[in-house]
Amino acid sequence: MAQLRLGHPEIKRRGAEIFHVTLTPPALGPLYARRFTLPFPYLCDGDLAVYRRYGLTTKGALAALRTGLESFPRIVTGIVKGEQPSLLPYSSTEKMTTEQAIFLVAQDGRVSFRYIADGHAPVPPNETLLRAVDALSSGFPIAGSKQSEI
Amino acid sequence: MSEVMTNAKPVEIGDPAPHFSLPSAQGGVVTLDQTIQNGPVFLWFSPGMV
Repeated sequence: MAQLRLGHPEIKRRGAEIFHVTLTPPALGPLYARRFTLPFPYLCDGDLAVYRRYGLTTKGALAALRTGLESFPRIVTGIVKGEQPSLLPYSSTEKMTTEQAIFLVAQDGRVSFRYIADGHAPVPPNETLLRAVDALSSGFPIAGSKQSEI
Repeated sequence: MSEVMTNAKPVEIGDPAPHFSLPSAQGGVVTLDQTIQNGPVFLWFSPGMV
C-alpha cells in the first residue's frame, strides 16, 4: 500500500481515485479504519464476489480467510496494542495464490488499463498508473497487462 | 477449501467493468457506477489486512 499511498495525491489531482478491493470481512474493516490511516476507500469483499466477477484467481483464499477468522481474537488484541495485522499472502498461508490486479475503469465504464500478477509481485510504478490516467484524456489508452509486459 | 474460486477469464482492456457495491472500512457502501461519474477509478485488488 505504501507505494500507492505516495502516488494517491497525484492520482487524485488528475481526477482519478483508487479503490482497494480486499478480502477483509466487512466486520473487520471498521477496526482497521479506526486503527490505521487508510488513504483511499478500503473495500471489503469478504465473500470474494467481486474478485470472481473480475475473473481473478483466489486459490486457497477461503482457507486463508478461515485461518484469519479463527485468529480474530488475537488480531483484535494486536490492533489494540498497535500491532500491524498480517498481510495476506505474506502470512503463514503459503498455499494461497490469490492474484493481485489493478484495473483502471474509465468514465464510460470500460477497462482502459489492466495489470495482473501473483500476490507477491510489486504493483506497477506510480508513473505507469499516471500515464494510464493521462492516456484517457489523450484518447490513446496504454495496454498494461501481465507483470512481464510492463 | 483451497480450490480455485473462479473459472472466468479476467476482465480485458476494453471490456465493460463489472459494476459492484461494497462496504467500505471507512464507512458506508461504495458503488463503482456512482464514483466513475466523477472520474476514472483504479481498482486495486489485493488481499489486504486479515
